[in-house]
Amino acid sequence: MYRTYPMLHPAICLLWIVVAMAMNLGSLRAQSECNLVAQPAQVTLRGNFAQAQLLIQQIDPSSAGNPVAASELSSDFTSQSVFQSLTPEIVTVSPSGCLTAVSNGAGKVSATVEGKTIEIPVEVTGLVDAPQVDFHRDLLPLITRSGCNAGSCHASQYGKGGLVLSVMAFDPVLDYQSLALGARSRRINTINPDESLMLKKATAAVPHGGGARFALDSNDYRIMARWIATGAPKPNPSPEKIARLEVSPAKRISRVAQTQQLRTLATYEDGQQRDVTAWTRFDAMDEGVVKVSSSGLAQTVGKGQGAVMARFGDRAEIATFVVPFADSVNLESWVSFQPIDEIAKSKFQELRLAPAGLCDDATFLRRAFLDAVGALPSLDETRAFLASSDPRKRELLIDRLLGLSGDAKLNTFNDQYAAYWSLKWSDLIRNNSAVLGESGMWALHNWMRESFRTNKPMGKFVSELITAKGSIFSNGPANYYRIANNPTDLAESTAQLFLGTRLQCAKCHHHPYERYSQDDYYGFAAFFARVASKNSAEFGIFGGETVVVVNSGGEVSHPKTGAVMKPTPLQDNPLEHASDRRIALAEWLTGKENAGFARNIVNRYTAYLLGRGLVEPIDDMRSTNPPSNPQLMDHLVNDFQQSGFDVRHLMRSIMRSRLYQLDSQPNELNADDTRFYSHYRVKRIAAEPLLDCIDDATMVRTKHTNMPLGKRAVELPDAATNNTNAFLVTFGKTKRASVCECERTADENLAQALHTLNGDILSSKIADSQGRVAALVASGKPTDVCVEELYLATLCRGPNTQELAEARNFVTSSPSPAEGYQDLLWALMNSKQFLFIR
Amino acid sequence: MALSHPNPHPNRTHTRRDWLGSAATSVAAGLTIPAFLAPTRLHANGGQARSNVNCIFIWTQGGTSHHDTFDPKPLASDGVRGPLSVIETAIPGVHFTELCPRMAKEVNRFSLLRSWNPKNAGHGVADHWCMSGRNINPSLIYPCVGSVVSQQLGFKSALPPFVQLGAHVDRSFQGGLPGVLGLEHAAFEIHAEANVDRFSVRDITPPLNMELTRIDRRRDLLDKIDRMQRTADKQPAAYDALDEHYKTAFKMITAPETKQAFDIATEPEALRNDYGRSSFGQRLLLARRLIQSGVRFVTVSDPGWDHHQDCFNGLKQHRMPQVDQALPALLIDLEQQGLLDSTLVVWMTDFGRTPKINPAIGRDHWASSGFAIMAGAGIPGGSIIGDTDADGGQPKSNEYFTENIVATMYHKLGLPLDLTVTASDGRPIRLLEGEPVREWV
Repeated sequence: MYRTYPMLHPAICLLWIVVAMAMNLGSLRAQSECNLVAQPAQVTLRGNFAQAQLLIQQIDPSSAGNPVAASELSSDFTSQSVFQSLTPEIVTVSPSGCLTAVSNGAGKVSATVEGKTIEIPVEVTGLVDAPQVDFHRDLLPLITRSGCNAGSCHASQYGKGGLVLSVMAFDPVLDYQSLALGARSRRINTINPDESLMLKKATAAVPHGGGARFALDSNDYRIMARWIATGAPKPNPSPEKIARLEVSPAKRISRVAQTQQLRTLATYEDGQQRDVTAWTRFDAMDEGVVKVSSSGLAQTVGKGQGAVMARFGDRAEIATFVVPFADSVNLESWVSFQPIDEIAKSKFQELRLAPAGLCDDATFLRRAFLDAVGALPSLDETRAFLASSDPRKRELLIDRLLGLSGDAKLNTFNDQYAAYWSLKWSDLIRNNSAVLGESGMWALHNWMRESFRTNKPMGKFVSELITAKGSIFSNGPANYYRIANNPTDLAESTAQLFLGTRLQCAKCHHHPYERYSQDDYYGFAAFFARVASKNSAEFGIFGGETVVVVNSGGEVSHPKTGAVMKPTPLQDNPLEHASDRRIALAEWLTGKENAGFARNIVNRYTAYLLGRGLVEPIDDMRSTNPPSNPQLMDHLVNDFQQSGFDVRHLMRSIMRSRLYQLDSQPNELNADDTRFYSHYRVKRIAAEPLLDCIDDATMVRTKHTNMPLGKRAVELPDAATNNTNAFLVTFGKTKRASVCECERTADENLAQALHTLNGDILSSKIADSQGRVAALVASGKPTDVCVEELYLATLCRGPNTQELAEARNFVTSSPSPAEGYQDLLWALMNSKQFLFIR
Repeated sequence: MALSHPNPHPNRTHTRRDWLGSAATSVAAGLTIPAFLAPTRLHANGGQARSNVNCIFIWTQGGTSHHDTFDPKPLASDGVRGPLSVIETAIPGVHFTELCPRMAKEVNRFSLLRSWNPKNAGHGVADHWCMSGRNINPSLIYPCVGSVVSQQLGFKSALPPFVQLGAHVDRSFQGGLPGVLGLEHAAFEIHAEANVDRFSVRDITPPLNMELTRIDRRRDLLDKIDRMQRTADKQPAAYDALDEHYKTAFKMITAPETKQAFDIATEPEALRNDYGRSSFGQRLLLARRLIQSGVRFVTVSDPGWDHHQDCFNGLKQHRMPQVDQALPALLIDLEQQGLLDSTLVVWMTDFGRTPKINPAIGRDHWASSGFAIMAGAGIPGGSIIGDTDADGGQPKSNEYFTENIVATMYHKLGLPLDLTVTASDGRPIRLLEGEPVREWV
């Protein structure tokens, strides 16, 4: 302790300053003055079982006058403090700084750190002789906090040991019945509460599979015993609601191996505030950065940014910990291309993270092509780009790829763009002839291609889907209502696709990390209550046709209460619409008030282009899963909204940024970073574009089932038929079974490696008599030229001197030039620079 | 689902690739694939895995009729009984139909469950449920047992831990797939016909009759090209993961045990004949060779059991003779090779079939009864578990469900019954709910 916190001893304090200056640690620890404060500075405990957590902080002198900085930069000494109650008859204090009320009156506790003591006045009020225990307010939080109703314990499907509780106490009536009435009330003994089975189990006085959950002399024991002694009162049918939960500190900038006690404060709807630290569940969300104990003592363990989630009642909040990667960083050479670069720079500064340099032109060319249109540039395109000395050539290329050059003659990639992004969205929307029939599949596909070809604003795209009706054969988006065809499935997929919100949990119980309850779930589902379909009984080309219609009646009711649910957007007020509720939903979804839609699209495109979403998983947006860089998110969201949901504009903003154009080679200083884009994150080329790249490199096109020769894999419309292609199946072409982005997994496997290393598809293409190698051999060009062409066709760059020499040597020593070139092409296509977008 | 697990890590989206990347440098080549699994392996409190037991899982796709094989009802009415006669087995009082003469004779080598209640009559759903122990769930794909074995126990030799022979597993509801465990743990599928003299396997047997010397030359060139592309010591973690897979793949292509495992022609003629010169028989023999070469879990799939029409001829002429020939041959062979105690043999099918024979002389899907067979790995031979009512439509005693059969497999393979893994989005997923079949453990 002495060595860790030396600044409190003058002599060592001086030494520390010297060390700190030598290490250029900046202002974090270099302090000569020890200004210790308690938070809160004075405490009021209300009611018999009230508890409160003290934080003992040292305010950083550099933050003088700046309350935000003061909060973020303070050091925490709570766990090093020695606490003592100066009035034990009024209040007691635990070694960790938790206050417990004893009797009414004014009291005082002290905290001592390394010889310095501060005193904290405590007022205790509202203690009565016969306290009542509120089931909702007092008992359930302690049951949740003790872990009794965790999914792996009594809240598992069949409960444990005969006791069934609801997950995270979402169903108080069930919990009451189980605890007070279940098993013929043998769990409680109102005559002699200490003999109650539930207390003996919880204290492990009798064998308990879950062990002891609290001690005999604990406050929690007293609460539970008192509840039983007062006759185990029922839950209040209209309990007090929590308006707000706050965690303090909300953000802390720290170093590795520092501790920080957390404290949570609940504000009820009537304005009453209560320290609920003792009944809060704390969970670390990134244990590589910060860990947390069950009592809320966080400890930083690694560099980066991590969060601790605090849950109380139906609320969840987070505390963010930032642990810089280095002592300092030099960002002088960072020249911002775009506004997001400035924001990224601030983050690098905060984290002291050294970004990579810019990638070279060839790398950029290949990256931009694969990211924007899912294809390799032609050889001519590559040569022209590499030869160009135009300083704006990267910007011009981005504009051409995205069809934003303003010159129709230059916007030649529009069809490729539309095909590639239709593929991406077809996976998410799950276009599949096995579900929709051939005609429905084509109608949806054609609508999607058209939408991306014309750069339909994303808001309009989604509105058309959500409000679609009519024939699934002639109106493409109407198929949305065949892919999912009941209100709950539609609610789940709509929320996940267009809000990035996973509602599934709330179908059966309160979402464990979110505000969403069953009310939210079924209120959202009610938007789809009146969608129906009529099937055609015809045979022939209109056989199997379905017409999506909107009925004038139809409701969704709450599964527990049976109440008819009003159509209600998530965490918003109910909406109505005279003819079609879905129109109201579409207007809300894409309206100005709802940033969730733009955030979701921005996050997806950030992930597609930068290799990682600002929020991960990219379709799991919620308040307890914050963006790695909130300012960056806000900027892009704002920009995207201003543009009228113009996706090409969004892509251009990202692709023109310095952030997007960084090298993928990690260095010593940023190799550990996986979240802040300090170097470009390499990605495997997905199944379809990869097959197209192989076709281009070998000049041998794959013939796809039911498609004319020459159709590229990214153009395939259907999940059902293209799952017959062994290459695509092996490389993880999605089955379009789930709206989750995770369906297209990023992992490579052994079968893929075998397929490219030893498979007949690749080998046959390389050896094809009409292929690139055959043409090269027939052309009689010099070896160096042939080698260069093979490099350009695969890696979009020429070989360097060493590579050229090595390749020349290999080809000339091969049994024949053809075999030499074949093996060279094979090796290039199996090399990482080919298989990855880098 | 354990949605309220206290440790959600939603921000920590290490993909498997990241794990692999970090593990790759520290572990010897070829054995590294499962190294990153250490955090989840044996996580649950089921004790140490008994990793020496392997599994051959026979899947007769479509739904093998229990009435016309192992649970005949000779006293039922004409419309239920069917035309097949009933024969004695080696156990007095236990009868099979005439389609299973060899199984009847060797009944003491396996155990028969007659009181399986599949609770499902849909294809596709069946493949998923029977192979994973879980009903389908669109938001969460549970892994099949073979993938769990791959993830938990990993490679034992150059050959992958999980192999599927034949393409006859219905994938429409993600049957027989790794689900949340990721593609890495998918079965290595071999579709090639095994009942041939020269057996070759796509992606393993070198293409276009390429010589091994040329493969070596290509590998050397690839090494050089990769090395020249590498400009610094550090490289993205994803590259390390790819390196590992390539190493494993090369090892598999060139390892002698690979060639040996697939060289089915080296088996004695008499043994090949004892398994029967059928697709199924030779696949079963190949399965034994794969187990011997270090594969942990082999699915042997067989098509064409969905007998809605012409059920009795279909079974008698086409499907049942090859299984009746091959399965006892496998059990005898395993015993003679000393592999029986360490090899669990399971036969499952989609579900049972209707008691009532339909107008097309077929039987349709039946959701509430069917049979399952297990042998080896300590399964008591000759035990007949449970029975069904007079029409074979409902289990009458010792009713067991699919999860019980799958739990038995977990138990025998040394997988904890409460095994919990972490999905890629951080959710803790308990893979199985259910207890093993009591008579089998």
